[in-house]
Amino acid sequence: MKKKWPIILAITVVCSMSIGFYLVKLLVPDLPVGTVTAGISGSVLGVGIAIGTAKFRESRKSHNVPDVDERTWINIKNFYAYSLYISLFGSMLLVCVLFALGVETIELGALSIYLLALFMLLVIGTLVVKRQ
Amino acid sequence: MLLKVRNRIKEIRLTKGISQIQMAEDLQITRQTINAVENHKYNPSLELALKLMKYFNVTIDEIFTLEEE
Repeated sequence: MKKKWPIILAITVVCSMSIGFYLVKLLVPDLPVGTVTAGISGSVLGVGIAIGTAKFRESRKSHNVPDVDERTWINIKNFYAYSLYISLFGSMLLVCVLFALGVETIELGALSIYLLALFMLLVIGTLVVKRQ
Repeated sequence: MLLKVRNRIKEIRLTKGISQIQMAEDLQITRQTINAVENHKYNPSLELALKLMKYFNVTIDEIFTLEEE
């Protein structure tokens, strides 16, 4: 399982990229080539950096101590439980504030950026919690 | 009445001359977990508690005690 994770990661990225491009093609039929190239190269570079960093860390490791254990999983579960409440209540609060300010519609682009930022925060938080 | 689990893991480990890294390798847990358990910030699961008993070859009451806060 440990050796297969880069392949699983690569397949996941390729599948998500394909679904993403298919959906974007449906919404924006004449998508610029530059955007597609940037998307593909960014994804490939991201996977490359992730796999490279993991391999580098594994090669430098001189002992057989695991990276995660029971305490780490408990910490991660607690983090997700808290972040679920914070993101739900935060989003509701944000909607209420925007509604109070007179905003009646939200652009899909703005919503996708908000969700992207939320996911990025979750990933960074998970990495921080994992190391504690 | 609030009860707190106290342990003597650090004491037993130092008596046996085992380092945290060695213990982490043998029990397949992280060094941070050992630190948290030794500083009474985390109570190990029953599975880990049993592993600790077997590892140090001691009984449960030699490692863990229940104290009133």
